[in-house]
Amino acid sequence: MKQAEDSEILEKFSNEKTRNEAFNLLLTKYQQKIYWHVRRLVIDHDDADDLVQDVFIKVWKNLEKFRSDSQLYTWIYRIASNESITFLNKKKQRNNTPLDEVSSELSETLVESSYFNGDTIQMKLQQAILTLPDKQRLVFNMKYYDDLKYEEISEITGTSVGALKASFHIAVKKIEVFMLNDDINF
Amino acid sequence: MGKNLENEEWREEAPTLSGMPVRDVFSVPQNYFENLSASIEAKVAVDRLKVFSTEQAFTVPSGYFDRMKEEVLSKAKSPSKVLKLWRSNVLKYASAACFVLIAGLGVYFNQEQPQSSVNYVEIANEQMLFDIDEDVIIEHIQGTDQVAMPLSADQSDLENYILTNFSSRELTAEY
Repeated sequence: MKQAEDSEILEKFSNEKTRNEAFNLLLTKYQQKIYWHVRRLVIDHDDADDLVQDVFIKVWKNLEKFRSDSQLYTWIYRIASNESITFLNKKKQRNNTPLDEVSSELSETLVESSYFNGDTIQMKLQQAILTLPDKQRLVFNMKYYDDLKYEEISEITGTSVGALKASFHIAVKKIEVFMLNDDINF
Repeated sequence: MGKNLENEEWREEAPTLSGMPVRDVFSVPQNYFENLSASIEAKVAVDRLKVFSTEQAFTVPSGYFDRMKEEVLSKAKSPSKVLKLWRSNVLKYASAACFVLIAGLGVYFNQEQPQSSVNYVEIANEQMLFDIDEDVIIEHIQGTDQVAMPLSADQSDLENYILTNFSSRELTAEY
C-alpha cells in the first residue's frame, strides 16, 4: 500500500472535512516507526502503547500549528522522544529510584518480558544499551536502528551535530566493552 | 562518499557491534498494529469531547465556598447547646413523685391478685390422660356411668350392699 506524502497529509488535515482521513493516513505512515522508537526506550509494551497513543493525540492537537520548516516525521519523532524521556524521568521520581538503578529496573523488565524474541547475544546487546544514560540511548537508537542522519537527529533533539557525534561514539564504545566482557552472560 | 564515512566510521571502533545484524528483538501482541489506528482515533475522539465537558454544568451562588468555609468553622468552634429537661426544681421533684406513686400502685395491685401457682399434679394427670388412647378413656367413662354389678352376684351379697349403701328412710321413701 502506497504511503501518502507528508504534503498531502498536511493539506488534507488543514481542511476540516478531510481532517480525519488525513489523520488516518498519518497513522498508517508513522505509527509503527514511532512505536518502535518509543518501545526501544521504555522496553515495556504496555508503557509504549500508552505513550504512542499520547504522542498521536498531541500530534492531532498540534498539527495545525506545525510549520513546514522541519520535516513532519522529525516533528513527530521529537514529540515521541520528549514523551518517552519525560516518562522515564517521572518513573525515577515516582519510585524515588537513583539514576543508576533505573537501567537495572528496565533490564529486569526486559528479562521478564514475554515480548522479547532475541537470542542471548541480542539480550546482552539490549542490556548494554540500557546501561547508557537516557538521552545517549535515544541518540544511539536513532542512529543505530533508524539510521537517521546526524542533522535529522539534531532537529529532533535540538542538540548540535558535533555533540551528537561525540555522544554516539561514546555510546558505541561502552556497548563494545560490555559485549566483550565475558563475565556478563545471559 | 564523505557522508557514508561520517555515518559508518563507528563500525571500525566497534567491530563486535558492527558484526551483529541490526534487528528489533521486541515483539508485540497479535494484531496490535492492525488495531492501533482505531485505538488512537478513539482516544482522539474522547479527547475532543473534553472540550465540551471541561466547563462546569452546575454553578453556585457567588462567594458560596468562602461563606461555607466560615460557617463550618464557626459551627465547629461554638459550644454545644445544652437542653434542660426541667426548667424548674418543682417540676423535677413532681415528676419523681409521680413515678414513685405509679410504681407503688402497680406493686400493690399486683400483690392483691391471687397468684396462680402452677399445679404440677394436675399438669401431670393431664399429661397422663393425654398419653392414654382416646378409645380407652371413652370406654372407661361409659363403664363408670352404670352401677357396677357383678354378673353373678349372690343374693346375700346384694342385700348386704343395699343395707350398707342405703338408709331405711331411703328404702321406705316412695318415688
